[in-house]
Amino acid sequence: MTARARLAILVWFAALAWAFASGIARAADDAPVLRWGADPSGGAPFAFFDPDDPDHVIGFEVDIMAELARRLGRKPELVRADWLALVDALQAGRCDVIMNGFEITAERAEVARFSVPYFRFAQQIVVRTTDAASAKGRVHGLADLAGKRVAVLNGSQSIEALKGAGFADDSIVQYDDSLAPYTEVRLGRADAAVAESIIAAYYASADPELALVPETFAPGNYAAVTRTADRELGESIDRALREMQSDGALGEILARWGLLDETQAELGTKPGRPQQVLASARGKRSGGLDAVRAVAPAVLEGAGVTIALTVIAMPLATAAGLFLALGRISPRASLRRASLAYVSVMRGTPLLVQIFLVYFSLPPLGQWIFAASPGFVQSALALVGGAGFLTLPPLFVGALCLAANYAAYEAEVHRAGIEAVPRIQWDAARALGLSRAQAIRHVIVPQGVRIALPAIVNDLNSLIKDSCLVSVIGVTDLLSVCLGIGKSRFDVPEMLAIAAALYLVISIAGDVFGAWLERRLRARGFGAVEGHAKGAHP
Amino acid sequence: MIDGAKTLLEVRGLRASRGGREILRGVHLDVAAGERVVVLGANGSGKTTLLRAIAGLDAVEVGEIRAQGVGFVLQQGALFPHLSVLQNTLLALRVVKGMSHEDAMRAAKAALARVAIERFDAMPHELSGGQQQRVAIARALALEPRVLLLDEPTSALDPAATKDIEETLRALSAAGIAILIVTHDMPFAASVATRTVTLRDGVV
Repeated sequence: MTARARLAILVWFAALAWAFASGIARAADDAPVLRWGADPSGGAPFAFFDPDDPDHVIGFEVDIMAELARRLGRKPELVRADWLALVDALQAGRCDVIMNGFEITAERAEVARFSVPYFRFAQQIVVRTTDAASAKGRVHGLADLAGKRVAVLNGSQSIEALKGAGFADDSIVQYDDSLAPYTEVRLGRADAAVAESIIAAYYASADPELALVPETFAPGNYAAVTRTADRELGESIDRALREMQSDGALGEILARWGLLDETQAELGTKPGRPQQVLASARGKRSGGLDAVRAVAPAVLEGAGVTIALTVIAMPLATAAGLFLALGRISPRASLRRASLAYVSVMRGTPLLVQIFLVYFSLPPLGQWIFAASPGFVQSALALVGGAGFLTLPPLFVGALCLAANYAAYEAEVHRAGIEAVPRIQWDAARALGLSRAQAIRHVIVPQGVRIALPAIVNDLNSLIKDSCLVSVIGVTDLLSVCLGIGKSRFDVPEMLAIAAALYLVISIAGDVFGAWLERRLRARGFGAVEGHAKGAHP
Repeated sequence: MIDGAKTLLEVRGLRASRGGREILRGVHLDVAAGERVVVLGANGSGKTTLLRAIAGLDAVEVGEIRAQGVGFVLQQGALFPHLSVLQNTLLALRVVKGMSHEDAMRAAKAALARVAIERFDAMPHELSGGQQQRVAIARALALEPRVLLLDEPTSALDPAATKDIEETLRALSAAGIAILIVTHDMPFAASVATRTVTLRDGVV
């Protein structure tokens, strides 16, 4: 092995170790941690990327959680996950509590425990300013929206409120983020948007093209969510929240975010000291060069995560794929079947689903294995986290899932490469007395890999872009960072364009690397393979 | 057959079929040390099938083959394109014979010297067809076979390269190796052979 190859392997292991350590660096701190789940790409004003410093997550829930954790003698730590996956993250033990605009519903109360409410909201309608003003299309309330297209946030309470008011399913259009319904109304693709008043106030009040309908309806409450079994934590959170309501701390935070309306008193929230409303509570943002300077560090960090995912996953996928390919051509039927089954399942199911399932089933699996293990195994596992030994950092899990999925594709690429090695090469190896395994190792695989290389480089390119799927488990890769910043700065298209440009740069770098590799291998005799492509015998 | 020379290859009643068609129907053939036997025959007459059976690449269905140390030079040499001349020659010495690096290097270089190849570090595609063929012979020779089989060794070679191959083969048989050649190249066959046999209707 050359010194350069050794260095490359060393660098690869360093990247892997970094991915593994990325999520467990907190262990050194003294104060016990309170891991709370939220989706910062969900948008303002709950928990979102600071438009002027996107490395930080801010929001009224961030402030509430900071105060809450302080009162519990704990240190808050944000665990990011896709909003729709937060309850799974909680059940899997990845976080201890969720505070992210979760409405109390009977359905949810069956699977988890809700705290006392910390915020009261109602549904509010937003329409185009022109529709609000014209006498003909005037919208005063829900009744005026009959038969129109209404845009809502996917999974939100607005859907239930609309259905309860008799709206048909096909008149309710659901979007995955809180900003999209307003964009759709502005562009005329929807007639109205219905969302919690808090979201409506944040996104629509700053836009002259949009108007809020004053009347609100279907009030509800936000509460923190804990595991049902975690009764003690749930009750201490209740006590702390009640304290914060009565001593004015909660009122102060809400006032700072411009959210302290008169309905909050219905929950027992007392006003705190008068506060200046935060600029970020109204979506103010810097522009021009300042904006670039503000956004660049977070975006580059996201790009770094995307590169790390690729650098870890692709070599692993290529190596694992080679072994799968050898399994596919093995003389042993059981190996052939097992390899084929792996390839079929991994290629036949969505990568997104695989990431999701693996991420959320590993922690309970770890607990189950731990519980079922004999004492000496448990004491060994205690060294690597005890029952939580499979609660691995998201970046690590994400990279492994990408590798496992791409291994299936690389298996087919390698198989095609191996089968393209002329038959006479097998004969030449066997005529020299090489066993099947020796022929594979020294003669067939080295040539097959060279033939497969262009296809592998092609897959490298596609993995770079597929890596964005790991954002569902809270990995802050390039795309999710740009989306989150875009939402908090009210400029999703601009940030997406930046993301696309950076993906292009990374992908071109991958192609340049691939071309260099191909050139090197061709210099080592790859070009001669064609010269031997003729069959050996009739 | 040269009187008194030891028979190194004996083929007795060899039968073989390909794709349901019986190609060899009881082949008898002896090759002795120092002989250069050329097998002639039309396309599809089973010449390559015969060599593959002797080399052990295909299992023998019916009949008997007795041979002491067979080396097989396949069509166009079939060098490993990703390995240099020296690495091609070294591979089996290291991997199959388990020789130390030093011993293998000595044996490989000696084998290459016998075919007059000095470009140890050249890649196969950098060599002429004739040189590739000679490296393939050296690769087989390194394992010290007593019998050497060659499948169309002069196909696509110019007359000068063909002459070189012939010289090489003459030197090898002078050293006591039994040589069996399959070829279409009539002038080469006439020039190189100590004896020719014709394979027709599956028999010699």
